[in-house]
Amino acid sequence: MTDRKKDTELLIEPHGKLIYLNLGEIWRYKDLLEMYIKRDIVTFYKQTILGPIWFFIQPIFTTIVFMFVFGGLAKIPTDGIPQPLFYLAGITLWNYFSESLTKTSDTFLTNQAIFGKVYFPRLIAPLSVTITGLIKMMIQFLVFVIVYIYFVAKGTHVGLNIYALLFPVLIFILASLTLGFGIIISSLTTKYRDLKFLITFAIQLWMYATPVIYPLSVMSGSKKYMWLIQANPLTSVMETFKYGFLGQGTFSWLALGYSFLFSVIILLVGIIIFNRVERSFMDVI
Amino acid sequence: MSDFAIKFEDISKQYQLGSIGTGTLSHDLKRWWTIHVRGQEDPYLKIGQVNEQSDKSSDGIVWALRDINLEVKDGEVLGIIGKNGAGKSTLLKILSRVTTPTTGRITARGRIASLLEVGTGFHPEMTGRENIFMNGSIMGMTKTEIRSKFDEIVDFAGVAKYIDTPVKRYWLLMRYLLWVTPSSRKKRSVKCRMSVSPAEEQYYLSVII
Repeated sequence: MTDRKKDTELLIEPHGKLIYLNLGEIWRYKDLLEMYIKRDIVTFYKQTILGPIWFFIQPIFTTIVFMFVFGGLAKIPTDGIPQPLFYLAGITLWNYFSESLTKTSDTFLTNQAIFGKVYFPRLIAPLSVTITGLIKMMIQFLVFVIVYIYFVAKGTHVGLNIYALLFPVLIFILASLTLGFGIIISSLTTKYRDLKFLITFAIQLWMYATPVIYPLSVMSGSKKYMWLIQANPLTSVMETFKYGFLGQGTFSWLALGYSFLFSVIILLVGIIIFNRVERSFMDVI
Repeated sequence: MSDFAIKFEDISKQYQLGSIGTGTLSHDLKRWWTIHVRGQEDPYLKIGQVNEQSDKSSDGIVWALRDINLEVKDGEVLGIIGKNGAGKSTLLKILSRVTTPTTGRITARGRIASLLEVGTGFHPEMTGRENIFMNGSIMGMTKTEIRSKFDEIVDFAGVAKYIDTPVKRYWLLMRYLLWVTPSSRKKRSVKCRMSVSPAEEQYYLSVII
């Protein structure tokens, strides 16, 4: 009896450890995580007639707009890849990143009512947003696959190759980056919210520094911006995806390794900062 | 070893007065400078101040709690009474890990469950059924635990007819019922209830009658 009690002994102190990631505790709350994800997915299409079909319609509309604006008006080349495929590939990955980042960076603000009433591992909230985003991305990926099959059936040459198997790695990098950056931003905006105003703007700019609407090869001419685009951890994710599935683009293990390392470091830094803030952010938010 | 369930040792909690803005930045920088660069004690952790609501504060801080020491034994029920702003809620917030103490520490044995205020964790777009699961899991119940009590909760709250309707269509009392039932159906070693709101009081009264 005393042993069992020792197990559940809880110590509440002003300062915690630097890196405190109680995975066991998060695991104990996995049902809550599941409920959060379910809530976000289900409430997304509540009171709509088309229901979950909206998940498909969004990327299709964006693709059509991109085809018109960037492909038609601005005439940005797509490296010989059919435009719908090229834009869908970019949108699928980019939408996941930008949507989840915007949402996780608001973690403390949107959840302050519930965080102020009850304790559960705070990481559950941003984690659920990241996973919800992943599920949405997989649905959009399905759209990509359907369009892909259509082009293959039509006889268009799409260079699917072995590098497409790196897809899970790309997802891991994207997820760690969104979660890492998201919790860093949300932690930094609890007391002083100045940063919040920059985020939307920064994400917009970031898209242009990422080969979403243009292939990396277009930029290879301009030395001025190339370093910036190559320093961007998302660049190799985009390029690897396009290289693996569409056979066009630039692929290098070095660039991918850099992105991988970058994402892991960001995630760790994020967890450290988040842990410092989550314990007492209620006082200042 | 004494057989306590919760032990408070020198618990104090400090809050900052006024609103946060450009002004508080210098305050923060000064604190950071004194503690981390000059290696001295926190300049704002002064001892011997009296917390009096009607007095004007000179340094913009307030001690909501000051050196609280107490022990609750296993099986004991403890009620905390005090006037508005005495720090009752702060104490419970620290105990339920919503915020941290400024000084001191608490040792607690068992799991801590706090009974929330009405409606927290309710999502208006979700149905009664979904909300029961949502609310239950926020309070640390597992899905199986909730499922095993589900019928009991629905029965008790008397909402069987409306269980698949979004909660936003519910009338007020029905929301209370749905909310209050799962929390009172839960077994936990340490329970703390924030405060009894008038609506809750009414509900408990009506149950007693």
